[in-house]
Amino acid sequence: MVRKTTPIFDTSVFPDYVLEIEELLESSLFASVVFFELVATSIDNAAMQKYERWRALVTANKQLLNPTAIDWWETSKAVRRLYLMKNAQPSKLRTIRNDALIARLAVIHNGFVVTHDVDDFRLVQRVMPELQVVSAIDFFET
Amino acid sequence: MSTSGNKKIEKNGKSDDLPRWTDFKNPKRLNKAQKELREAFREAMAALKKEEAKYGKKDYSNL
Repeated sequence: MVRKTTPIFDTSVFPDYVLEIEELLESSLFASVVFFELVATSIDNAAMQKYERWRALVTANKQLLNPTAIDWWETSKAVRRLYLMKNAQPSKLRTIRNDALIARLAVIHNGFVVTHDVDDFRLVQRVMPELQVVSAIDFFET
Repeated sequence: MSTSGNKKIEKNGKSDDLPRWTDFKNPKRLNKAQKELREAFREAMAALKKEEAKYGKKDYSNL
């Protein structure tokens, strides 16, 4: 198996491992989905402005991963397959749509996902077998 | 492939050596753009932590 070479962080890991991720900034890729989740849940304008500056620099450094039309299409088919497999609650599947998109970006860009929500990504892995997932605790604390 | 004591990454029922963050650490010397990126990241994370302290832990599951 070809070893995946680039860490791609799920949104869930950011507040807990700031110092560690800072050390990896230049060797990581960042899914636009993460910025979507951060911005969509931000309340204060000050936070919004900080995200905007960070996103602009990530974009300038060509480290921002944006889903293409094909990525959206293939991810939607993957989530559909999960629905049809009926081995997860529909309510659960509704919560992993963004994770599935992050997973797709990781697969396409030869990365692996670092996350706190390993179970969610394991679910996605059933329909995206190339996906590699590592728990944040294993990645950062071992 | 599994051996005791080694960390593993699972993929489709198989496993490989688990990557660790120290494998990906960046060089000590940073250029201007890298320093700027780090500063922006640090400030964004400080803003995130401040919001979580103020409003509670973020929940991204229903977006």
